[in-house]
Amino acid sequence: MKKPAGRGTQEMCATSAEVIAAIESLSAEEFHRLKKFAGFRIRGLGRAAMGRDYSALLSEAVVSTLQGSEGGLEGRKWAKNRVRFINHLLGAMRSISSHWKEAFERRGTEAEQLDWMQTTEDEDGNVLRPSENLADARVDPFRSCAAKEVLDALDNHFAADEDALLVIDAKKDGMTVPEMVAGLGLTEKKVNAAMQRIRYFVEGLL
Amino acid sequence: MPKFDKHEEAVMRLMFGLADSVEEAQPSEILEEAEKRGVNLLDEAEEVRGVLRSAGRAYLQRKLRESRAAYEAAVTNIHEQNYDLPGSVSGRRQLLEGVLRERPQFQGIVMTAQHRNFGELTDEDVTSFLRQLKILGLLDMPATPTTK
Repeated sequence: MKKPAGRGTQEMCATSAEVIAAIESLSAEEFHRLKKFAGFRIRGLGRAAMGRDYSALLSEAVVSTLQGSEGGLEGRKWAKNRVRFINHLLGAMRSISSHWKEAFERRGTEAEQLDWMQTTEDEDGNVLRPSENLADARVDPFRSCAAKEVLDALDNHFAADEDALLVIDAKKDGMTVPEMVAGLGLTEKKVNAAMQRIRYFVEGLL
Repeated sequence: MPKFDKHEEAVMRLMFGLADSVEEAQPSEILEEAEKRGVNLLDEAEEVRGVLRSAGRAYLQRKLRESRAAYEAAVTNIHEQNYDLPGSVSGRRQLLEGVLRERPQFQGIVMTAQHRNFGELTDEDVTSFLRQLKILGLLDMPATPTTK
């Protein structure tokens, strides 16, 4: 067990063995949550995803956590006593995908190799290039569905659902749930219920 | 520099907001949505677990390869370095013998359970020990402290 520099002495950073054990102990509901979360982050990135899918984002989060477990400055450290493993992974994916967006804006469409993607050899000496498994950005289904069309589809589908329309508009402006509750006159329960309907529709849309 | 248009920015914020709502949702909501979508959670768990395992395995294998390469580079360096040792077998043996005579404390390093007698050492052993002593900077040390 290692204590990360600059953090509280009570905060224990997980070792790589503990990270692997935590992966094995995730529940089916948590795996589903991880995939859903990664999917929405990737859809949000749009062109900035550059052909990456949910699995690339999830993989990067794991690799970054394993790097962090080595005690150096690289990677993301999982403070296992303070944060649940799933919340750590969700936070890592949020941060990584934001970084991808910024990198896309900085570098343009210049292709960048995924951090975790390295050419490897299997036991038989066959060269494995993970990039060969990358989805082709040109056939990314989300790219073919322009952002405007997504917004129109949401407006049409929820035309008779005032709560959902309010929540969609609020989210487009980046409002949080407490801000929506305070500013839109909706209860938290209504906001969450609307969110669930929107999630369900968006997942079916793409 | 590519810019996102206003619609893309709006969709991005909306999708990121939906992702946040996934994080905050109760387990019962997540399970309910999966059921409505007809998702087989066990199959999906296998798929996602496979993604995580595969990423972890690839990373650990890469670290292993890097460690192996670093070790091999260090060994190559040892072999390729010019140690300026005597050219003959007897010369190297004499040198090591002299070092051990003058610095008996090194005997513990050279003489192990495997090599109890100096005579049992092969030339390869002798050369290896001399190289190690050289690398450690112990071969050039004066046998006794010099006095002014």
